Amino acid sequence: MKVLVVEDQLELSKNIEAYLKNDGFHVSCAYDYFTASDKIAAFEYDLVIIDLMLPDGYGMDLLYSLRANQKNVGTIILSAKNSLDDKVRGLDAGADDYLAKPFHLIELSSRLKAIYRTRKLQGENSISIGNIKLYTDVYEVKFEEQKIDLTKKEYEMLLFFATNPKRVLTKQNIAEHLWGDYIDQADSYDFVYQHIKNLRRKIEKASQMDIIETVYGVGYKLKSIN
Amino acid sequence: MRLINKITLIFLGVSFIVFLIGGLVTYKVIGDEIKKEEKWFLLERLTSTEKYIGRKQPQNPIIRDKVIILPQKDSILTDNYIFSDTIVYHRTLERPELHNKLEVGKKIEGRFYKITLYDIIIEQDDIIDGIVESLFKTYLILLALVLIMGWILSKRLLIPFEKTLQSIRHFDIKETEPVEFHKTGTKEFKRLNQFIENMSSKIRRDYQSLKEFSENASHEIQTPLSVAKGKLELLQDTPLDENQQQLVKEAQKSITNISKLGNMLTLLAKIDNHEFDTRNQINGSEILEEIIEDYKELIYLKGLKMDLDIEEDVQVSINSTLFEILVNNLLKNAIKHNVNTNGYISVEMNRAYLQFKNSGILLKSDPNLLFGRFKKENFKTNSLGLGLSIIKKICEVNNMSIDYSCKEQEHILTVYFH
Repeated sequence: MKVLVVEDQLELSKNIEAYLKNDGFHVSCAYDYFTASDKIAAFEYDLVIIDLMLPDGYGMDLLYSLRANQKNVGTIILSAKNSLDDKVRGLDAGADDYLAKPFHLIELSSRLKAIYRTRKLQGENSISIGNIKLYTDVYEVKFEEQKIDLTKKEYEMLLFFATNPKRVLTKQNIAEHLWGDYIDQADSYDFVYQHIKNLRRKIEKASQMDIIETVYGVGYKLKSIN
Repeated sequence: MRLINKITLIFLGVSFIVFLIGGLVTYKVIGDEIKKEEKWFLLERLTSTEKYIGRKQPQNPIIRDKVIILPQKDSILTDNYIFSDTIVYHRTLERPELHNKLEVGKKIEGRFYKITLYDIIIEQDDIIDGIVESLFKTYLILLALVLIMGWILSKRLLIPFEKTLQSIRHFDIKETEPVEFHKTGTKEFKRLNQFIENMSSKIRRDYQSLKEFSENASHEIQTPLSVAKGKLELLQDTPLDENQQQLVKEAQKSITNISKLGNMLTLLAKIDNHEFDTRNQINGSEILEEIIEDYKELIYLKGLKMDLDIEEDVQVSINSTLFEILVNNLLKNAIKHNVNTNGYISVEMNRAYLQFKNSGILLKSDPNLLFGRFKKENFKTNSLGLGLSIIKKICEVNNMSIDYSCKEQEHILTVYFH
C-alpha cells in the first residue's frame, strides 16, 4: 500500500511516516502543496493523507484535482479546525474520511486500511486471525465455516484488533474508534470492558480459544496465534 | 438626588444665611438712621419748646404728652444734651413703647429749666416686620427663579451628559463601531466624552486581542498536541513493560484532555463571535430523537431507565449546529452525572421547553454556580467543567432561558424557548 502524506508540520509528518511504515505501508511525504501536486501527478498512490491548511495552498484543491483526474485514490483529510463545515466540504469534495487533530495514529492507520479495503479490493476481502475470518464485505465473522453472531460494535471491535495485531489497544483507542467523540473516557471504559467481555465469550464459545489478552492497566491485545 | 437639585439646595441654603445676615445689617442700618433722624427731630422740638418757654416763662412744671418742662430754682448745668432710650406708655397705641429721650438743662430769660423730650417716629417691631417681610418676599422670588432656572438649565446644559450616559448604557464590547457622542461645547463634558471614547476603544482593543489570543491559542495548540500524541503512540509500538505502558497511557489521557479543553474553549469563543448566528426553523423533536438514538447504547450499558415525552414537530428557531451541541451536552450530562443503580433519565419536549430530569447525587453547592466555567461539583478528572457553560452560552445567544434545580436525588435542567 503506497501512501502519500501531505502535511506541512514536519514533526507530525514524521510521526505518521514512522507509524505507517511500522504498519507495512510504503510512505512518502510532501510538506507543501506544490510538492504534493507534483508527486500526485508523477506517481501512483493508493492512499493520500491531506492536511487542509498548507503553507502555499489549500488541501481541498488537491482533492478536486485528484477527483478531476479520475484517479482511484483513497483520501483522508486532516484538519485542526474540527469544524463541521470542513468535514462536510471535504467529504463533498470526494474525500473518503475525515480526522480532526489531534488524532490517534492507530485511528489513522485503521481508517486507511478500511479505505483501502473498500476502494482497492472493492470490499472483497477477508482478514484472518488464526482460523477466524472476518469478511469485511458482508460484515461476517466465521470460525472454520461456522458463523459467529456478533453485534455491530463487537464486529467493529474485532476488526480493529485484526487490523492492528501485535499492538496493545488502550481502552481509550477502542472507545474513540467505536464511538468517536460521543462519550467521555471514564464512562466509555466500562462499555469497552463489557463489549470485550461479550466478544471474548462469543469467540471462545465458537472456537474454544480466547484470542484477546488483557494487558494489565493498559488495554488489550490480540494473542499471537501461529 | 439629582445634581441640579443638590446645587439648588446648597444655593438656597447659602442665600438663606446671607439673607439672615443681610436682615440684621439692614435692621441695624435702618435703626441707626432712624435714631439719627429722631435726634434731629428732638432737637428741632427743643428749639420750639425753648421759644415756647421764652414766651410763657412758666413758674410751675409743665408735664404734657412727650414734653416735661421743670423750672429750676438753682442754677444747673446747661446745654448738656443727653440722649437715651426710655419706655413710655404710648397713648394711641395703648401700650408701653421704646421712645427716644432728650434731657437737657437750659437757661432761658435768666431762668433755669430742665427740659425732657421724648418721641418715636417708627416703632422697633415695625422695622423688624418690614425687614422680615421684604426679605421673605425677595427670598421667595429668588427661590422661584432659582428653581425655574435650575430646571431649564438642567434640561439644556445636561443634555450632553445624558447623551453620554445613554452611549455608555448601549456600549457593547463585542461591537467594532466607535461609540457615538453628542457634540458639546462644555469643556467638562468634552473631556468626559474624550475620556470615555479612549477608554472604550482601549477596552475593545484589549478584548479583541484577548479573544483572538484565546481563539488562536486553543486552535494552534492542537498541532503540537497531535505531534506529542503521535510520539507517544510510536513509543507504544516499541517493546515496553507494563509500567512504561501505563505511563504512556496516562500521558495520552492528559493530552486528550487538553485537546478537548482547547476545542471547547474554541467553541465558546466561536459562539461569542457570533459564528453561529444564522438561525433557521428546525424540527427540534426530530434532532432530539436522533441524538437520543445515538446514545441509546450507552444509556442501556449504564443501566439507566429512559423516559421520553417528546411532542412531535416542535419548531425551534436556532442554529442547527448549536442545537445539536446543546442537546448533546444536556444528554451527556444526564448520563454522566447519574447514579449507578436504578438510575433514570426522563426527557420532555414541547413548544415551551425542553427538560431533562435525571437521578443523581445531591448537590453540595448551588446548582446555578455550575454554569460558570471550570466549575464542577466533584473533581472527577475526566470532567472539564465546561459543559454547562457551553449550554448556558448557547441559551444566552438564542434568547432562551435555562433553569437548573436539584431536589433531593433528582436534577432538573430546563431550557425555555421563547
